[in-house]
Amino acid sequence: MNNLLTLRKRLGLELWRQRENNIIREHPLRQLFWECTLRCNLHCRHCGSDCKVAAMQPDMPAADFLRVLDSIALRTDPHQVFVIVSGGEPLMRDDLEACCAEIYAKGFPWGMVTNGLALTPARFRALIKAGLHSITISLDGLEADHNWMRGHKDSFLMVDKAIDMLVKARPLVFDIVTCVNRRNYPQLAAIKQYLIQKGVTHWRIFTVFPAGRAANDPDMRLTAEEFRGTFDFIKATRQEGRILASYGCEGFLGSYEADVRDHFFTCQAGIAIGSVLIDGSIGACTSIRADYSQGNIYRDDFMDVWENRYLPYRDHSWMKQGDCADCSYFRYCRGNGMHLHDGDGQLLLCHMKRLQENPKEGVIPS
Amino acid sequence: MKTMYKKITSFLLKLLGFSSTFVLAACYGPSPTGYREDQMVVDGDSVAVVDLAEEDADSMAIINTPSEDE
Repeated sequence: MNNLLTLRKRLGLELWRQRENNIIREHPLRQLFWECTLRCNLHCRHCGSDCKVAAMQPDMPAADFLRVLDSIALRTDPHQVFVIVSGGEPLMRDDLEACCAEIYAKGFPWGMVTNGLALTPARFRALIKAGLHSITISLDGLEADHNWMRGHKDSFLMVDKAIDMLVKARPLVFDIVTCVNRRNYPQLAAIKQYLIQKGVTHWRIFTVFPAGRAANDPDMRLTAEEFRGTFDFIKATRQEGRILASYGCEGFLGSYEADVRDHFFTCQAGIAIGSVLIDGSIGACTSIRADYSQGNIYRDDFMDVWENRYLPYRDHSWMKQGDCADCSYFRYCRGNGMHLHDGDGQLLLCHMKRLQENPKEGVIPS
Repeated sequence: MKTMYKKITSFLLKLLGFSSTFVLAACYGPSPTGYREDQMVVDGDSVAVVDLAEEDADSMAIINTPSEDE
């Protein structure tokens, strides 16, 4: 498969581009990440945050984040802003349920991302009671591979139990997220089968981007053939219709656009997505590890920052350098995901370029 | 986005053969959690996206509200 866009996709992308321009002008805050802790009960090989059991940075007091929500609620409808509790591992906080109940009481729907290790039935019930709307659980393979990736012998077992709880808790919205790497790539079909048997309906797949602990790990980075094969796998899985597989939000994918996600590529960081990081920094999604913070909740009013700053997120003209300078796809990718840029503004990964390393169809794992 | 703009975008994307989920994402934006898309796609192939926008806020508030017996 080459990377040429069909006329249909090109027209779709042009419509999408108009949408993007409108959204950038309006920049409605729709998702707000709260990095509530950097502590974690696992030591994952691909961790973008480089989290540890005992973090250098203390957890953010709930009251500090709740003040941010008060400021947001004065300027926008809280029902329209989805709070995503993230970490570290949010379940490391003993007061998580109490924090989230407060978030919910202020009118903000909320969800969380967890590794599932500490998701006991009692905690799950308490989270539901605190207004949990959606939950994402990480699963990076079947037992041996997942535990290898996560560095814990019981990790798979707990995810397995957690999935059973989630399936029974529908209509709670949940999905499973899998980081594809060299080790679990050949197992993708087996993982799919496992998830279908468990009753999972939504499966989000992403590939490692070169940041955090994964940056220098050769087991993490797929070959060019595997990289393309991952998209062929997602596309084929979607066509099967037994489970809705999607590629994560990062990366413009050329001819794979519209075939592996429910939308065209977009990076909504700083446009519809904001974040409050552990030290109070005001940023966008938590995958952005380079310092593109726009302020700090301990100095600035969040909504003032949201309305008046965020220029690097909303005007990507500074990204049009290096390989991007003359690339005809810049029109659609706008320099790729914000989190794929280092502190100097250099692009760490261009998905199109990686796909072009292997223009032939990938080998779909079976 | 303005309602008329949403309607035009919805119509054109539908005309190009994109799915209703795709159309919804174009009007309301994708979600990292999948929450919005899931809640808004209520009847398969419907493109009644404009009406769903107003319901969205309410559905967020009532879903998973703790039941009496908990």
